Amino acid sequence: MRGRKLGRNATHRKAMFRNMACSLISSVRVDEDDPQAPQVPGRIVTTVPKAKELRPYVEKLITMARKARVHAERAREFGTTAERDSDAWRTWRESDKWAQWAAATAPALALRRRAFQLLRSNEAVDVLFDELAERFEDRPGGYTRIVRLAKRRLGDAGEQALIEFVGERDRTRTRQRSAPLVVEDEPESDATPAAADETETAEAEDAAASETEGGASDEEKSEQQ
Amino acid sequence: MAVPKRRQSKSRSRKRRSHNAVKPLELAHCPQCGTAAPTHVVCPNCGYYQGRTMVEVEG
Repeated sequence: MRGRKLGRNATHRKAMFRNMACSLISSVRVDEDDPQAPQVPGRIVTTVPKAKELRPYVEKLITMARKARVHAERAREFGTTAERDSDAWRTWRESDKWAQWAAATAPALALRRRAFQLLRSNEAVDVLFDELAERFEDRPGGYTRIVRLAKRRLGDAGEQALIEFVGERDRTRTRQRSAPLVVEDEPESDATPAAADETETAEAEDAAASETEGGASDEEKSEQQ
Repeated sequence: MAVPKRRQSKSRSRKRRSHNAVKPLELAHCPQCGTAAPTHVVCPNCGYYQGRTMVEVEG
């Protein structure tokens, strides 16, 4: 079989990934009043191998939601805002527009049902298709991030990691990808330290900027609480 | 059933175990707070990882 077995049989594994994906996706929408609400939205902590296996599972779901978005958008022009069973709704339901709307929505609905097969939770499917699809509209894959944690799990000392949706706490690029340009008319020994100094100052600035951003977000969080 | 004929000498056991030593962890210091931690992990003290705070630590 493809991937890790994780010490489980097929059904156990399937159920586990369903639960994990559901937890990860539902954690995006935080209910503030709930005492058991996730501390950080859009993140779960698990072991490294489980996180790595969960990643394709969740990313395929998001791709499904993104594809459905196009169809939903197209269906909107044939749709109606009238309340169900109202007179306006009835006339719409009997007009050609309904047939066009139904034909346009069908692929989106099919994708939604496929996602529901994998999650078995209406709440998670709603979050997936309403929030995450919009959030990752322009991102061609790579929706999640796995970061290892220093603390081993109590009991079996399993290596822990967090898996979360990208978009928040992203890495700011501090270093230039290409080597700094060396000006030809200057001797190389002079040019290189100067360029290095420049990159260092840029790094320092970036670090300072990210720190202030972090501070601002902290304040926002405390205000929300 | 096959049984050992002789008790293994201390020397033989110890020679076998000469390669069994556990190496100390290779720790790196967090660039923000200086705490020693394994590489490629979020800092257990301040939650710092690759230029940003990943885990908000209370206090």
